[in-house]
Amino acid sequence: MMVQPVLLIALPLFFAFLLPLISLWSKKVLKYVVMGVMAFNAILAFIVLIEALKAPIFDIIAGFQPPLGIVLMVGPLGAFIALVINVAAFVISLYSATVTKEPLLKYYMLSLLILMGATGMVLTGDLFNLFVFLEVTSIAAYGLASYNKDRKGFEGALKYVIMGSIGSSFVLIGIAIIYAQLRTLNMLDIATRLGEMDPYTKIVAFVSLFLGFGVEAEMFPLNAWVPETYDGAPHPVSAMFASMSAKSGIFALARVIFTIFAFSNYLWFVVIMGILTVFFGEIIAYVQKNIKRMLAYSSIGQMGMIIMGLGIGTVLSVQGAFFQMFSHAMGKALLFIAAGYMIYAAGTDRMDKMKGIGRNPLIGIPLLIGILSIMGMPPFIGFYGKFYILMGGFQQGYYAIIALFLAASIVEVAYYARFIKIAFEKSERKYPAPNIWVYAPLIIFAIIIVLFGIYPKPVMDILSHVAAFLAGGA
Amino acid sequence: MIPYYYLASIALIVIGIYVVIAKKNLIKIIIGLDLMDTGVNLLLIAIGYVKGGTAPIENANYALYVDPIPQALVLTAIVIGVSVMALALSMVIGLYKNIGTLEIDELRRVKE
Amino acid sequence: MKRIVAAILAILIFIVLALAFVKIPFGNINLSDYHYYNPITDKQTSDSVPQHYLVDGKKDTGSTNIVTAVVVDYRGFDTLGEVTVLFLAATGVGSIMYIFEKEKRRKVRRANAVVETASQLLFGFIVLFGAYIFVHGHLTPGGGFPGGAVIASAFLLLYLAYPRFHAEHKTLNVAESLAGLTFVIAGLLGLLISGSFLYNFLPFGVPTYLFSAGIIPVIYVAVGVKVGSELTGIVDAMMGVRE
Repeated sequence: MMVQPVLLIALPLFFAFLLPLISLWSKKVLKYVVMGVMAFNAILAFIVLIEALKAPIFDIIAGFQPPLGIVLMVGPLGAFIALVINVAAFVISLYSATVTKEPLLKYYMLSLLILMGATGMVLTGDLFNLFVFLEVTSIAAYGLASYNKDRKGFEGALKYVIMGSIGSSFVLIGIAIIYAQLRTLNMLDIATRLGEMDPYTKIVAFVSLFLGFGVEAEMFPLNAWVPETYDGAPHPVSAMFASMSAKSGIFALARVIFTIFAFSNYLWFVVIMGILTVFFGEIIAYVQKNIKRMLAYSSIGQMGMIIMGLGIGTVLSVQGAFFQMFSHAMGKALLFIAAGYMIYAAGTDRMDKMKGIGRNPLIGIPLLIGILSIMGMPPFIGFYGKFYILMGGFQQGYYAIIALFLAASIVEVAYYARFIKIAFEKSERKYPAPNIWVYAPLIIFAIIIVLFGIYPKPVMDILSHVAAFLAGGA
Repeated sequence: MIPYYYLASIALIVIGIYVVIAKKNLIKIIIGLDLMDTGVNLLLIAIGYVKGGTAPIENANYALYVDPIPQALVLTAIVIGVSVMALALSMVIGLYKNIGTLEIDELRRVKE
Repeated sequence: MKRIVAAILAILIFIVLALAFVKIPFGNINLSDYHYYNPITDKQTSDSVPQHYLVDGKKDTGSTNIVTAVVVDYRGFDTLGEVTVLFLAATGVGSIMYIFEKEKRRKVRRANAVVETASQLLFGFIVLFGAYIFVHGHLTPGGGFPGGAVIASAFLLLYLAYPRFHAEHKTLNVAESLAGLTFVIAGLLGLLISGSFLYNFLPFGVPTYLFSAGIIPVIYVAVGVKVGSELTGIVDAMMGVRE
């Protein structure tokens, strides 16, 4: 059965417009409608992935051949990341059932639209369309980040708005420079005619786009918003940021680096940005006492590893980067959901007040699996990503970078180990039991992490298409 | 020789950046963001200009039209800018309700 | 200190960008000098994208306003995203301004008789003008976004003249939902009829007539209603609850 990728975007949008009408009839069904739409979307994404594995799909919009019209360019990797985003969105939507703060209608509309934006960013093949979807994602994220409507939420969200607007201005500048020289906006058209651009102008355009998308991808100089925004947002929203908007941002970076500018001699710049991001994230994460801030900084570190993997630029390391996107989307969403429960159960976000919270096996086992996977321990999915990035580094002979990478990983292991020790310590304190909306998503993520950790072959088969992606294909 | 249309719009962008970094009042920072948006929009319009061209609506008196795409892009960019401004301002209103100040320095002091 | 850093950074960015724009000509361009490459058929053409729009735009879309042809038809998907962005902003502002719901009602003063009478007189005309702008989007300058903004300004006038005026939230929500659904359903119908999302499936008619250009006027009416109700909603939310 042929499914057009545009349905992945049109469906959440349709239901986001429909929700206000549904809420006139009944407010109770909203959350089930959203879960249903997201589950259906994940199934569609799976079908699209199977289609895209045969041959990249070009879905022409409005019936005009590219570059006259907009085209969705769905290769195996894009479809894979879209599937990851959609699955994560569905599982997180289960946890969203614990949100009780009003206005819930707006919350569900925003969560459908952040999914639509993130999916659109991954699927689109047009540079300006990528910008539009970037804005859809980030404006939905602004709304969700301030949803708690308390001081922390507003501060975090405002920081995000300021950084995000600067980033999107830079993206537009990059687009303006490219358009002024080539008079086209289609990515593949730009890529084939890149030689017509002036070399200096080309670099400025690259840096503008790179910095612009770097905001969403949590890259080093532009990620000051990350900890406060993650901390101030409602718990399911932090999970959404880590597994949806950050992933679409990093995929947009990969598009800029490999599909549009097939640079090979400037990749060291990307590696350096990546390693700086890793260090910034991991070192500061070590000194955090607040659990959500620690996870946010750790998220920065992990995104840095992905950027590094992209920057090293061999087939192995880019495979590692994509594997890391998958494992980070699953693992960090799990940890944020667990952190949400722990903050609720312990009544505080300080880690030292959470002694023995993991002794309930419904929480403890998924938590342990998630942490071990994020650390990069072998039987879980987190291992493969780091391993392939390192192998890629060896191939290229970046030994200094590898040493730094390992050092950062040790710091990461240290602070997570400390957290495990606190969470599983013996304690007299009784914590309230989690309800089904908490442990169901935790268990689903844990199963995915273990399953693909033991049997990574399907993922590796998809990632074998990386070589074509690096060569500038879809 | 750089055309001063480009220079002026780039100047607007960097003034916006300066305001965002240097100013300490949230409303002023948001004004800075707006300046940046305006600068980028002007830049986009400027690259679409063709000497002697007119607006791209069918007109029997003219044969030369300017590039229609940047105009379409700017239309989108303006709407996006307005949306971001509306959200940012409502967040500022909310923050003011919570703490009663818009100065970043005072925000930090209240935290401790 | 912060100011100096900011100034240095700003000057640096200015120089870098200005140097990039040295190579970009202003005005002295000929749009037919460029060309494009079609990634699906893998062919280089001697035609350039803007030149194609200017020359064949009327034939392709039936619209005499080429900017409208680009916005609603060639790049209609961007416009769908743009409408979504505005919808998101209205939703986000509504969600944030919810804190006002429990708040004490704010006392406001009446406007004077001149403003009240004048706004009553003008309101209908402004709405009519807004509707004119978006209905004629494919023929004259303007379109759904400016038209919607004009309609919202009519409501803004009412807010100024009658401080107790309150737009009915339910009506606004229903209007913007229905308008958004119209846009998406028009797109899905195109997918159903021709296999391409947002395909212009209605007959083009005679260019320069009001009923021409296929789905462009339909979409622009939907956009106009949507933008009008969303901007009104944003204004209403920001005004808070008044007594």
